[in-house]
Amino acid sequence: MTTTQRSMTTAPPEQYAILIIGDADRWWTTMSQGERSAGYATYGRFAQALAARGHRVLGGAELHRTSEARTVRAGGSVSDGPFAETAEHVGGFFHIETHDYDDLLDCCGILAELGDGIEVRRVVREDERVR
Amino acid sequence: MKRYVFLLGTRMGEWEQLTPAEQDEVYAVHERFHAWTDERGYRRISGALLGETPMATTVRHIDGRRVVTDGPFVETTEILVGYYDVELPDLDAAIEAAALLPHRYAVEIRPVEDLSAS
Repeated sequence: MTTTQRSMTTAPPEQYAILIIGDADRWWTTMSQGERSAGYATYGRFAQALAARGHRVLGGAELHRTSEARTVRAGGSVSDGPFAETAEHVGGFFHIETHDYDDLLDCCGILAELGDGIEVRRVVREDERVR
Repeated sequence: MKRYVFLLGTRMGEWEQLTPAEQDEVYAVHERFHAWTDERGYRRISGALLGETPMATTVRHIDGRRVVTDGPFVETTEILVGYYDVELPDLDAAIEAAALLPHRYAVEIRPVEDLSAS
């Protein structure tokens, strides 16, 4: 199935958001310099895999610690911290365009080695907005 | 300029309850947000809206093994439905900008780590 999809280069690509969810603040609090270097090396490996396997990076960012977050709620009130009161937060994300979802999931396994959950969500296409 | 990511959260299942006209209005508010940033020369680096369903795939490592499951990572009533990555002068501007987005969202403002400066 994966091989078939890979050869279907004429099929329109889909876009996905890859959300890195976990104890994002550990990068700033408990991880040693060595652990952070190894962590960034894993992200480097992920970026290389994406490039080598034909997945295009459209965007992405590494987010600062959650204590720097502010949330604007419906009605306009502003509060400190992230909107969800959970222990796990988005620490970063990638926005990817690809023809091969299964292979993209395989690449995400590299990021999952660091202990985070990697949530992959399809991005809404322009034509899906037309009603 | 500073770089901020806006994470857009809303209650699961709410989108389906909106009428087509209400859904169109949500998109129109996004367009007005785009216009607001463009008029001020604030760069929208990237952004996306995600499907407002629990359709997701999660990849984890458990005891050294790769585990792929259907569904979002955290089962909560609020889900992430989109993001913007924007350049803005400061946090005040970020709060002003976030308040322009559809009021059905909670908008989480997160400063972006600038790796080139560390």
